[in-house]
Amino acid sequence: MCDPLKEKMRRIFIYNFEAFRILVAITIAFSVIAVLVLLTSDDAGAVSYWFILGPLTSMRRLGGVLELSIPFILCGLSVSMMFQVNKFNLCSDGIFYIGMAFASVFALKLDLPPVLFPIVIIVLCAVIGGLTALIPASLNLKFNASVVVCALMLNYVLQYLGRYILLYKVKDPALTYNGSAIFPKAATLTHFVPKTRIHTGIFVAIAAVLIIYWVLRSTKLGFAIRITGKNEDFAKASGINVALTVLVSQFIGGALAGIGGAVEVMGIYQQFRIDTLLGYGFDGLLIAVIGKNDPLRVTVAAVALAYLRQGAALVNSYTDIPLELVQVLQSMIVIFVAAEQLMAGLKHKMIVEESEKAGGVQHV
Amino acid sequence: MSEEMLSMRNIVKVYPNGFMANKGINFTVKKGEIHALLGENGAGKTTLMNILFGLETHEEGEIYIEGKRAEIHNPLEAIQNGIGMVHQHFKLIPSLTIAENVVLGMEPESRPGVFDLKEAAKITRETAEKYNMNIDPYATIESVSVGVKQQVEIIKILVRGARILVLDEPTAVLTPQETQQLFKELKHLRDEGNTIIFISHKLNEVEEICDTFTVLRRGELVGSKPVAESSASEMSAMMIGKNIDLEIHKEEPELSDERIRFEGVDYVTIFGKKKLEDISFNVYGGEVMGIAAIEGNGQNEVAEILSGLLKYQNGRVLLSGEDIKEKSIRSLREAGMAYISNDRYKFGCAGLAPIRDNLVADRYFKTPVAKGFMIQNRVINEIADGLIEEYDIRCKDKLENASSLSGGNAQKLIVAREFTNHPRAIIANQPTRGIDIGSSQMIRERLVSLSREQKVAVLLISADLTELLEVSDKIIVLHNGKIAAYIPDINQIDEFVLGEYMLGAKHQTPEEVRCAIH
Repeated sequence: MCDPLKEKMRRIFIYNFEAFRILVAITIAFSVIAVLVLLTSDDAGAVSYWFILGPLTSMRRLGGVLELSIPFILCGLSVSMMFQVNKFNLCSDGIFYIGMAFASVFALKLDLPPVLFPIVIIVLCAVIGGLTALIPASLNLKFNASVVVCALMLNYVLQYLGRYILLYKVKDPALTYNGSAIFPKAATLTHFVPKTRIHTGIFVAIAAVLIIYWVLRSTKLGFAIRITGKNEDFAKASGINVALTVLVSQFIGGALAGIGGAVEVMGIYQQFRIDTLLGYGFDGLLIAVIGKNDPLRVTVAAVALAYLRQGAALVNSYTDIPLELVQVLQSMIVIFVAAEQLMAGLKHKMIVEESEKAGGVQHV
Repeated sequence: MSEEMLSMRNIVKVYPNGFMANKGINFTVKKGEIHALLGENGAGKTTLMNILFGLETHEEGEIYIEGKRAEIHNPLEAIQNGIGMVHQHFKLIPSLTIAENVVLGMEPESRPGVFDLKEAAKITRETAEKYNMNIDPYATIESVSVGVKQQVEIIKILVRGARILVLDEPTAVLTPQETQQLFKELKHLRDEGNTIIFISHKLNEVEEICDTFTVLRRGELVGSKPVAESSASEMSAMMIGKNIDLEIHKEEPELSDERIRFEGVDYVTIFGKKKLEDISFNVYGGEVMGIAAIEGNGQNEVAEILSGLLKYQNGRVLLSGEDIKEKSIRSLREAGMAYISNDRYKFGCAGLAPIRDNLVADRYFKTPVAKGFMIQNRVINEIADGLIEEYDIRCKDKLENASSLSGGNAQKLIVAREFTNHPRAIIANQPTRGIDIGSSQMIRERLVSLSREQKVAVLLISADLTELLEVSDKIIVLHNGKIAAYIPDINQIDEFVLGEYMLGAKHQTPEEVRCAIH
């Protein structure tokens, strides 16, 4: 009757439910993917190899994962800060782009010593990004305009503002394509791992994670943000300045996206030649949702998504699978991981057994 | 011995958070009786009834109706089995007529696809007349009183062929007059052969109309007995497991300075509806001012204006002698305003935040919690542990979300916070609504002791007139947003006269009302 091993397993299952759920989700996703791959590819073995292990096969490929993690982490944090207070301010994508644009202006027009130069650029882009994110939020507070609509429209404005800067302010006429001159060495972020483009921006991303984690957990502002996000009416009745709290968290969110853009352009491209939105802001949305707005989980989700992207890119380069299907593969995994109710029935059954064992006196 | 109408056997229910709400309950109701289901909050009454009505699934146990096994997985199957439920919060559509609400989901048709309002009105009227209820089927729900709305709910389930009627705290929102009317109807329904399950916290009502009672405690059955063979004190002892003193002992108030002052306050909604008109009264430290009113007569607006949530148009409101018009809610709270909202889950707590954070939401920004711009989680834990202990908030862990608490415990959480931040004026709007006797008594006693010992001014709004008369020193009655009566001495009044003022059947002269401010 009383099987201690079984009971122990059950408890492990309940307390680590989230990890089990994700594991099962990934397994299911891979099974579905396997079917699709077998149907479309002549060499299913190569596909699975590149998709699952590809990013680990060389330093350069692994570097690719970490390079991509930097903007993913910053955009994921950006979106999660805005969502934290229930404002679906989806302007991170546009802010990331103008972050790159303004960083290139500063890099080419200012002249500062190394180390200080990128720091100044990051701070300036953070302020620009923060102020930009306030536009949808304050329109919402003041005129009750929909944040989602304002933010999506704002993305267009920012996209064309960025292109304007590219074409009319920083374009180098000597180039055959639309691009700025290469930034002076002092305004770039050093690539410090040989054979990769991993740049010092990764420390900016890590610092951002730690700072946001600390702000939310241990500061007055973080407390106000958490309560406001859970119940605005209650926050107001308790004396919290809800409007100010919302604006501050939007500012922080925008600043993170602005930093993301600046770091990306100084670290990876070292010149400005992107003429459209990169979509990292919306990847950030995905990451924020999967990471449930928690800075540490957001980081894990960002690295995982970067790994998936890298694997997909390798599949695309080395196998006969078309690019379209590669997109399906990675989306599939995200869908299953996002399925929160997966195995909820099993969990409930386990909890019932656990409660009956404990005599049901759990609430005392 | 009369035959068995309903039997629920060995019912087990476990919620997803692991809380076992029903631990193998056996509940039997005889045909043609009014059966009281008693228990503190979190005892499992509502869960048991939700299982009966198919709103919740149960893990184990069977339900038998007239000896036959019934499978009930959703409200539709419950209705087919002759079970009807009147919820505490009415489920009616305000803009539709009574007849339309009654037939909703089973609309009669004159031709296929065409709704027959006349037939609907006829169905409604026939049922109403059969049980001596006097209602106009063509009136819209929003135009009728709470008592009539409740009648509509009862008619609604009768029309659907209910033979077992479940009423969840039906008198909580009624005036004494309406309650008497309801009781007459319930007796009539019983005499016609219906079976009624009556959930209530008010033991005097149980003694008045119920035949049998069953008590639950912490998810288990305590016992079942005919009411005639028991007493209110035995029932309450069964409910909470020990005898408690239900009387409030309070001394004569000793007044300090004026803390709350309303001077000719008007409030008009953005839709132009006048909710408050020329409200003037004041409350001193050391006394309890009660406000009696039927739901929607302006009492919530008074509370929200004083708490800073609502901006009024004319007049002046003073807190400890200072005009509150331009002040933020935080500065009002810093001046000693504490607010227990009637809407517990909207203004009283954040359900998705930990219990711990909810307990310090009004003081996280100052010492001892805050240090510079940081908060000290260690101090928050200490405060939370202290309050959970002192106010007996029953929870698994202070890091659990507040939404995992039962209604009574959520209210204890709110009260624990509001009573302990050095209050000078407390607004308590329905502080004990829908919560168990033990917790209610604790809250009432604390309100009195705060006023007597710490010289706090208490403004108590309550639909429970017994409570209002027990706790208050003086009372104002609101009717239609105006002060209908001011009773400076509560020994001069009883529930029935209060009821007449509340219903607008009686009014004081303007001179008498003017005495509310002095």
